[in-house]
Amino acid sequence: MKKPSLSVRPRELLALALLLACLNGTSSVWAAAARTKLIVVVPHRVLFTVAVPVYVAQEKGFYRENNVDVDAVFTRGGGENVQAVVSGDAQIGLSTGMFAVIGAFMKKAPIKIAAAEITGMDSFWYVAGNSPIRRFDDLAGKKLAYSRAGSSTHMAVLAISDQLKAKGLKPAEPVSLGGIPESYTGVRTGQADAGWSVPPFNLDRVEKGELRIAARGNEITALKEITSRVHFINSDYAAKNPNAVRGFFRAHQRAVEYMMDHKEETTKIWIRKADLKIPESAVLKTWDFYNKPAMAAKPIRGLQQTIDDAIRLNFLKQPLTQAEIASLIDLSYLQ
Amino acid sequence: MATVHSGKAAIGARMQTPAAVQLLTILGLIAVWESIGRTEILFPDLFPSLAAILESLWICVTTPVLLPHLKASLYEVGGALFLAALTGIPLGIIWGSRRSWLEVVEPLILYAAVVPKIVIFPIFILFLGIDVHSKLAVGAFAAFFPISLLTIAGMREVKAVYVDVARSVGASAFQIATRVYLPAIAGQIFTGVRIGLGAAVTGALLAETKIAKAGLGFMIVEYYGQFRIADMYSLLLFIFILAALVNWAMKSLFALVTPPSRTNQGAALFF
Amino acid sequence: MSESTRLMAWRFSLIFGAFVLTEASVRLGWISSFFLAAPSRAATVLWSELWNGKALVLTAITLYEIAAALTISTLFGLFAGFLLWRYRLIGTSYEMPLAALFSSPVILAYPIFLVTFGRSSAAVIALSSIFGLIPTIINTKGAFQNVNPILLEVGASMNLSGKQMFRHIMLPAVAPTIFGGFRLALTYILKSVLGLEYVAQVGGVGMWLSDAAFRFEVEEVYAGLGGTVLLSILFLYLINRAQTLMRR
Repeated sequence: MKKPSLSVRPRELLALALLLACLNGTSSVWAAAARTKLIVVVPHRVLFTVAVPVYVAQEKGFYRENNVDVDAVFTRGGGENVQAVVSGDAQIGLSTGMFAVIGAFMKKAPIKIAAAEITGMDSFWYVAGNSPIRRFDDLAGKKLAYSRAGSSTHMAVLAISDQLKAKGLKPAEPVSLGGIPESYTGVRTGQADAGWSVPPFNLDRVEKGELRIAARGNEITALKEITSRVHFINSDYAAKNPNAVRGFFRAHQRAVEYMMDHKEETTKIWIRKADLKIPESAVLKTWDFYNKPAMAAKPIRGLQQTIDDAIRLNFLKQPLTQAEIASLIDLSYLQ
Repeated sequence: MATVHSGKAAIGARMQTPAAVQLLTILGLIAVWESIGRTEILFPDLFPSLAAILESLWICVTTPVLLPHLKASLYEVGGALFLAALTGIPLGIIWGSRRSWLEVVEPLILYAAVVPKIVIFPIFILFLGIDVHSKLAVGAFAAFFPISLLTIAGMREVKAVYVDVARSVGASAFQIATRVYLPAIAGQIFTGVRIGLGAAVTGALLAETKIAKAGLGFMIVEYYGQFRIADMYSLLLFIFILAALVNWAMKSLFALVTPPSRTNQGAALFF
Repeated sequence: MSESTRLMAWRFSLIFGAFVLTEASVRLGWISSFFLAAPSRAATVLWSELWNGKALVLTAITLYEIAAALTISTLFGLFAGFLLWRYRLIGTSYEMPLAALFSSPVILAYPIFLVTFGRSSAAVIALSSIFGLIPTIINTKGAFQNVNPILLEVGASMNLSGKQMFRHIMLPAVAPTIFGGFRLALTYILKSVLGLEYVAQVGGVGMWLSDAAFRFEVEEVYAGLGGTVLLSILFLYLINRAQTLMRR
């Protein structure tokens, strides 16, 4: 009796390989189809705590691991973020100022705060390299730039003024100059003594000596324990798809941890995804401005102070009741 | 001597061509730009050298970096112009065909035209989402006004006597529409579409600055946000060149399909 | 009922119909009040803002910017448009670049204007003048180009001098088209002034709209827009009156 032959002809090998490839492809398609698609609005393409967690989560596959497919759409700020989420077209809004979210919530927008993004102030104020201003107290009586009325930088400049006054020094003079580029030009053209920035912007100029940091956000004592930016969700969507929202925030938190523990790798991802033209050495200095406790997703700190400031700046007409606060904040989607 | 004079005359003749005038203008603008940047009359960081701008433009044109953004914006602007023409021209014809309708509707369109479309962009987001379609709609809404207004203006200029003459020789409604109205209003419609193109570009690209993940407007503001001024200018220059090419193509197409209009350059001879 | 009264009645009916539809859409929840304000509420806010004076001050700033931009664009636009027609070489050379410039999103260069002219009305006026200038130039050139040659031949046959030809034949012939261009230029200037004030957060009414939008005060946004439309009605009325006087 002839022994059965185990040899396989080349044609059969090819057929088997093709079949395996198809099955693999199909299973990828099925897996992708099984993942929930989420549209997330991000108010800046470059900022560290705003965009980088998204890039890291995408690159390292954290979203995939948590069964979500994230499509990031970029906006110019809190207003557009809120509108996109309220319209229902986006499900999650990242890194939005507390005033914008609370203000919209009080106007019956179907949104809830799901996590803190940053507690404290991550901006810094700089002066020209040849300026006599060297430290925080030297800002007394000087023109300090902020973006626009009601913004976090506006609050910061007012807090700096109060802090200087408390020391018996002349308060600073707030000057609305707009965004980071306008602020830089304002300092260079003498419209302000100190401009505002957020890492990694202008860190290369600080490295070269063209600019000098005069005050950091963490020196502003009044804002140290205030959560300034939050992530929020469309509450109708979240009620129907809690697992997807939980999956997103699991991935997001994992990305934040990874960022803080892997500086060099994160820098490379950041430069590539955000198309940064800032030298790597300057970008790496960003980590000097952040720490894990400040980037913790919970709790939401300093809410009462935030509400009082929002009333002062006409974002709110009256304080929130306890029931409204309970309805506004829902941290149950975090681990 | 005669050869020198004829040489000078030849150079003089060559200088008196549109291409030469445009070239001289460009050279003049470059000289002004470079002198502003180098003398630091104004903030020099906002006036990068032409070399830096052209280098950035070269990268845009020769690498795929711009492609996804170009695709998004072309879709938005093209779609906007098409939609605006599709609605603006027929409505302009209908409204302009009767004096009473014209007098009622035209002022209302003019009043509504002044509303900056970017302020009501959130309504477009509500109905059309945050993807390209809301930007297309903003561009179409912006372009609708010049197209419909100029179509109405064209209809207004059609003399009733032409229509009466056509009717009296037994022309059908279709013949009147195509042989009397269409040639009379074609010029204004074409001008309206050209102006509408500008409105569509501005509307769509401005909307991209508010919420997008791709697009030329999105990239312009992104470059400015990173203070990459040379890159920003190179994109603006790219859009300008593209707009010039599209305008030229539209003008050439119009010249091909219509008889030459009765223009009056010769009036200059009278004084 | 006179013709003008009948037209006014028709216009009011259309506007009223649109208001009623919008009011119903918002009150019945077809359109979220987060995105669109009920006209009645917007009107109430506009009335209160006009009374407490804030709207008047802001409107004055915007009016000043519009007037300045319109003056600049008219003066330079008429002159440039005339030159483009008078000297064929210049006209042919610059027509395409002008059309291309008009089609380009020059407004996206607004940050450069803000930095160059300062964060003030000057930047708004400078950029808005460009938006009014180009349609004025193109329209003026077109107006002169389309003067009926028969009129010119009649003038020549009467031995009119250049000045007389311009005053008695060219000017009346081009006036309607040029005023049409003014209306178009005004529309663009109004839109660009408000748009720039909104985007750059400087100036008058547009800055008010931007602040209101930032605070999600939708009713204030639409109150401001309503005020804008009223402004445009006023301006267009003034231009039409000027056109009628010119014709006389």
